[in-house]
Amino acid sequence: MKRFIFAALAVAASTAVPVLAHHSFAMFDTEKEMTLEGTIKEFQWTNPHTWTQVLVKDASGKEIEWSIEGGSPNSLSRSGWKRTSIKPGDKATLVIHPLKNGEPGGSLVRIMVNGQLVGTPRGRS
Amino acid sequence: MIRTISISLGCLAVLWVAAAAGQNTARTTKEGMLREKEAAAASLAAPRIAADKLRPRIGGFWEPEKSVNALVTVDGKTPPLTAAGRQLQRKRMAQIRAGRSDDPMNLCLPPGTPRDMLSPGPFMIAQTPAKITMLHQDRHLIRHVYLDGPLELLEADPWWEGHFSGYWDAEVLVIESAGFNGNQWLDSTGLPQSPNMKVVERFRLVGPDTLEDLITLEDSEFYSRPWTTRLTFRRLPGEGRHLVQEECSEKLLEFPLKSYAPT
Amino acid sequence: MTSADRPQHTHRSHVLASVGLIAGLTLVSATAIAQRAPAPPAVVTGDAARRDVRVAEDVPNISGVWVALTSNRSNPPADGGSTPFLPWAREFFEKRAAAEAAGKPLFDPTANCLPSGVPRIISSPYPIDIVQTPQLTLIITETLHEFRMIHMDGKPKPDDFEPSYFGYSVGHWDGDTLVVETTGLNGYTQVDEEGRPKSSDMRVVERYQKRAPNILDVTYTLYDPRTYSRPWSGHAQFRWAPELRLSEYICEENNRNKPDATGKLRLGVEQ
Repeated sequence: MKRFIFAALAVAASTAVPVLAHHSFAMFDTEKEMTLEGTIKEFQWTNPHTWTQVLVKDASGKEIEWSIEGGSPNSLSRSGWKRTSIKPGDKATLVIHPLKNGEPGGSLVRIMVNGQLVGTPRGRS
Repeated sequence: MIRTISISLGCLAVLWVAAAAGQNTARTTKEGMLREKEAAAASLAAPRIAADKLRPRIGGFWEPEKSVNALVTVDGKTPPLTAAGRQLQRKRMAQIRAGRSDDPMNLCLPPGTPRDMLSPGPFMIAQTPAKITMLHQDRHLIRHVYLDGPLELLEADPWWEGHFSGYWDAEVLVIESAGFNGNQWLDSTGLPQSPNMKVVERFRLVGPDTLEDLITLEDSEFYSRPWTTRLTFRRLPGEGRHLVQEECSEKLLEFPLKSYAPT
Repeated sequence: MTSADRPQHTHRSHVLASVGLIAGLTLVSATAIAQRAPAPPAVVTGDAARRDVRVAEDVPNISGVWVALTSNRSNPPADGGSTPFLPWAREFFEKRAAAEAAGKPLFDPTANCLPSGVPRIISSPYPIDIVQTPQLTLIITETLHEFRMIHMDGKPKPDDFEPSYFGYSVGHWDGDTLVVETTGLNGYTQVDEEGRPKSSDMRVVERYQKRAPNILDVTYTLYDPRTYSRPWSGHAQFRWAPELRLSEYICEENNRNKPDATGKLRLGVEQ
């Protein structure tokens, strides 16, 4: 039996509500959207959540590392994501719900890598 | 990184030589396999459930005949490690002796394939025409083995437990696995597994209540040649037993869980 | 011999050599499976007694992979009424809601790679796989690779049963409906992600019914007089997804959402 990363399964999963199963998202300010532009340091294709580590310059020009939580590989791979969708060194624009406590972290809404939108964030379609 | 994996026909050759040895091999033809696949799909889609009456009854509850800490070859020898394999195992053994083992199982990570078959305690095999499902009490490890083998991985994520596919070779259930992430230990002595390992297991009843798992491991990074090990299991009476829900992650908690139960 | 130097044609030639002998038998075998006809004697080798699989084949088939259509973090009564909290339960629920609103949600076992329990597991957004054997109906969840065992043998929960996240489930068919009664729950988890509590006395009755060939309806009723002033019900729905298979889900792989020592969940942002 052939096993691919089942991009085709996006159809099957499209009606599923995605990733809110693992924990509460209350620490994120879901009322607020924030855009980050930076360079990818690392992409962790892991359960229970994927994580994108991105270096973003602050107002003084200093590079700050942000940790952005995304959906699980299980749900993301069913909506077109791959382990290689985000690579270190990629120039990325991320829209996030930031942490309420002001730390450099957030929950991913969508990500553009080198000008291309990656899949559909959090498994939503 | 996506690893592109294809199971070489060579790997299957090993299995074939083993299968052919003195047995009435009823391996399906390509056409037959397609028909079997359709039949399997049909059994899932049927309005009523179907039992697998054509195959040996391996379904039910089993436990290991003896606990195995260190895997050996079928003739009782140490596995044929390469220099790199030996070096990695020695490093792991030294860490164990120093009391800082980095066995992934200590962090409640899965034992992988075939180490899950070394799990203590009972396991269940759910046998249906389309699928074999193996469920272990220890760490609620599960293998979903669809009977649509042989395994052909073109572009699959490496997984802790690998990807499985199975088929019946006459009286023998063959399960092939590959596509590992390479973080696994094969046993508690730290025998290594590379991402390119291919595992072929041959399950058969050697008595009505004794199940044998002949496991052939091929991994040229850590082993100089394919080698085979043998595990046996005894059938537990009753087909409706309960497997206790064991949650390894409870022991990783930094505080007592009980205080969070409201009543 | 490594895979590189092994002759690549061995497998194929062996198959070809076998074709003449077995092709006919194989096709008979495959057809027999499809029609669930008795096994043709020509194919059955070995001890026939080993094939003594006792299955009530008149049982509806709900096997296979199902995708959740109704996953939700808040599951109040499906009839639209208010949740019949007892005072302590209302206080518990409101305390959690206040902590959430403050961005400091209280401990939730799922954030520590522990099961969400019954009935919350019914609301998981990940697919499930139902496997039916003569004595057991297994509900296998992709999330945390857990399985529920529904005992179909009519025997009650053993007296010495140790309470657990999924408890002990007994099932029977009421016509085309699978009725599952679960007790022996450990009370560490809540009814839903929003935090409706439950006691370890909760009894959950689920009714699984195929509405259309591809739709599975689940209604569940919660009986917990220590927590709620009356029984109340919820509903979930699944769609059959034969093209889908459960993926690996190893929560312990990279869990950065562990609660701290006070039990408060805090996002682990590493700097």
